Amino acid sequence: MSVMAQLKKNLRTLNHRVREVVAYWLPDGLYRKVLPDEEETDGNQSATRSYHCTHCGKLLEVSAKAFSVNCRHCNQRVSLEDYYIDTHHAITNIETSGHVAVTESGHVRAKICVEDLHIEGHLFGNVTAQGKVSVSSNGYIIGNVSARKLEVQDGAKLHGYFTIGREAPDKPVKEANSVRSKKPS
Amino acid sequence: MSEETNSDYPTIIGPDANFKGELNFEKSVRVLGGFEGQIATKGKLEVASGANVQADVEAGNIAVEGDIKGNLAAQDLIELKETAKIHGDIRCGRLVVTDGASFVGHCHVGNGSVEKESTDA
Repeated sequence: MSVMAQLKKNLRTLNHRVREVVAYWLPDGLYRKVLPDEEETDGNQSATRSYHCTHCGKLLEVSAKAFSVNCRHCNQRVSLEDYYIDTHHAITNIETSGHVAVTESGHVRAKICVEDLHIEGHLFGNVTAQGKVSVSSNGYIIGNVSARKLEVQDGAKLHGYFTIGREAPDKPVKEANSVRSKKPS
Repeated sequence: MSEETNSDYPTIIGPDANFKGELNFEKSVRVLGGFEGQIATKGKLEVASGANVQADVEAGNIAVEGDIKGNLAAQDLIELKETAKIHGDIRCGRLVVTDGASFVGHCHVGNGSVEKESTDA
């Protein structure tokens, strides 16, 4: 690799790290990454990502920069944000087609409906993940979990009913969704 | 089969064997074939890929690569490899799940989970 190529690579890595750090804080200790992964947007403005709708479970192709989208199958609003939770966070349903990470200092009491979930802290509530749930050695989950894939590291603590693999439902479990008002008949 | 494997697992239920009943042992057993009944041990149970076990298992350590229908209780570690398929409840001190494993059932992992089961019973 030439020196110039190496420099470019280092700059890309540094730039990526800076973008990861730049984030704006939301109430309740949540914050969202400003930009998606650099590789997907760099030099390609029309980059897209695949998400599963949190309501009907069907696949959606949307811009990598989108924060939310209307599902073209069920016409429901779908959040695409990633959440990093590192404080106490309770009495809220988290419903997104993005990723949720609970850091070691994070303590969550919520029903979670998500694409991928990573737990290093404490989680009390039911989880429905279209993708993977990973629990690190300090992770603690009390609640029912339904996911395509599960990865548990030695030392994690789990209590609940788990449905992992192909048996996991295509559609998100109704309980894991937030309560929605019905249309008046 | 190598001598090393034989020393690790003094008892092996081969791929063409189907065992029905109650199995008690001290050290380790490797199941390659079919098993139906109950397994109780302080040692290690390994269910190899392709094996089919329908049993309630109590063991020191359990490693699963095949299919199990039944409840698993381990004093220490349960390891689910990527080809593992479990239908049943799990109780253990430590759990390691490799990406790809399939599991449906109640899960109690952490210190005191196995002791709690014995007091419940």
